[in-house]
Amino acid sequence: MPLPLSNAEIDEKIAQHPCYSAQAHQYARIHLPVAPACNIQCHYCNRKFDCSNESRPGVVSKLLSPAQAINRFTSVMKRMPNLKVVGIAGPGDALANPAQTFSTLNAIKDIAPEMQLCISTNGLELNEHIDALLAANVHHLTITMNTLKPEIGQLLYAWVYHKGVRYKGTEGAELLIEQQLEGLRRATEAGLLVKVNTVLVPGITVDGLPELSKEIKQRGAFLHNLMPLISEPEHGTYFGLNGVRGPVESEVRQAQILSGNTMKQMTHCQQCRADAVGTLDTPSPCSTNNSNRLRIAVASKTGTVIDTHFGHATFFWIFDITSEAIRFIEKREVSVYCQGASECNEDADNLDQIVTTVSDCQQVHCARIGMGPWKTLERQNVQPLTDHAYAEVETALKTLQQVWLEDQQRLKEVS
Amino acid sequence: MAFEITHHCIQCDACKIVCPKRAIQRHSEGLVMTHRCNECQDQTSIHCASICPVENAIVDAQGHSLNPTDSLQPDECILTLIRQRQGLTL
Repeated sequence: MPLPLSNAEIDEKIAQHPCYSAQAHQYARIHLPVAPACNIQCHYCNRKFDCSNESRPGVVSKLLSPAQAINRFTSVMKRMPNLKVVGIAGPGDALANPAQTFSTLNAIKDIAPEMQLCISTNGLELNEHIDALLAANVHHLTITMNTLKPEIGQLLYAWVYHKGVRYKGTEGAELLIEQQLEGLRRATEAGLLVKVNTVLVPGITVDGLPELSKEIKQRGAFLHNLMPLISEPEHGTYFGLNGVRGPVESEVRQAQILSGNTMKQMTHCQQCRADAVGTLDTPSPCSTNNSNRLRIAVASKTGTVIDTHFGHATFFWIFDITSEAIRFIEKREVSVYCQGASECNEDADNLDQIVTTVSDCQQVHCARIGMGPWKTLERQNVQPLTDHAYAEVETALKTLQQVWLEDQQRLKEVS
Repeated sequence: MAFEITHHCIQCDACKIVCPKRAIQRHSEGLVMTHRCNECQDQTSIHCASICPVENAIVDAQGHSLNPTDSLQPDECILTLIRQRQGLTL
């Protein structure tokens, strides 16, 4: 569909993109990791891992050539009928690798014109590539913009490369900010649907949020995604190694309210990998997991199919996945959390005992799960997943073992 | 004369993309500088060295690093400013 889009077309595009609409969680997206190079260095990024203004830190995606990416797309498309969005988010910056990015996007446009195409960028080279984005039928664009002020930018960016020269300090930050603001305005004028990501760093990016929100609103961005800085020494980033802290939950909520006065907020960002596949429930294994096994809990009536809503489970089946084997550990009984068919009374004590029951697991698999229990589990470092809803337990376990083995291998390669 | 890519290279392709002479190629063992490199003598800056994110990944014919150790690290005052703003004590 050529731009500019009609209001009805815009609504449809927003409604079916799982990152743009919280109601679109049943739709799936795929990220194709074809873009390794980057043209800036953020203080919260370690180049051995994916771009961490897109993914959570410590995540490695195996680079694909455009040809390999097309192959991956076609095979995923066959098995995932709810696939709606194809995005290029890394591992570096999509627009720092224009040949790889655009050959991939143009190929997908030709073989699957119904797919919504999406890219993420720091915006430094956005102005150069707006026409190419339009020609490739890209409709969704995410720009990571953290500040309007060069004196804050110098605290976030070590350097910025533009047209052959490396710029540092406030000079580099000012150049980046100028390019982002101009690129944002020209992109929205051309009809692109632009989401702005901002990394929340207490004391650094939080205070400037009201001003930033007004500016991006004025330039046509329609969604703001505030991403909490995740910063641990083992990530090896400048911030992580120097004890620069991310926000606590109340600071995140506060920031969302601050920005929410002006800009519509995205609140369900999973900070996923540059090679993520599936609905936003798909797991992003965390590199701080040092265990040599993956323990999972499955909500299932008989243990053969993942058929149970988290709130209706009376049993959880516990399995251990290692590189050698998949072992059934035990069946654990719980008091049912959810009494009614649809509404849950969100009884905190009742939820606590269930969360405690599965707290030694890294993942909980079920057919469905409500937002409240989902968040509570995540806070306990247990990842809830509905990616294998209604799958046979045995099949799901084998897939999980395969994915887990691949991730372990990649982590070894970068450490 | 030509520059050389060392084992510190993280294979991000950034240099290959920006080289004005297309002098950098991907071989099975990694990124390699070819004879097409003229050390950017006709340019106002050295493009590969300007975008390379890691120190000591590119050296000249005498073995001198174009981005020596510490040259890509932020100034010390940056950390001081950040810590002040976050209310952290040194």
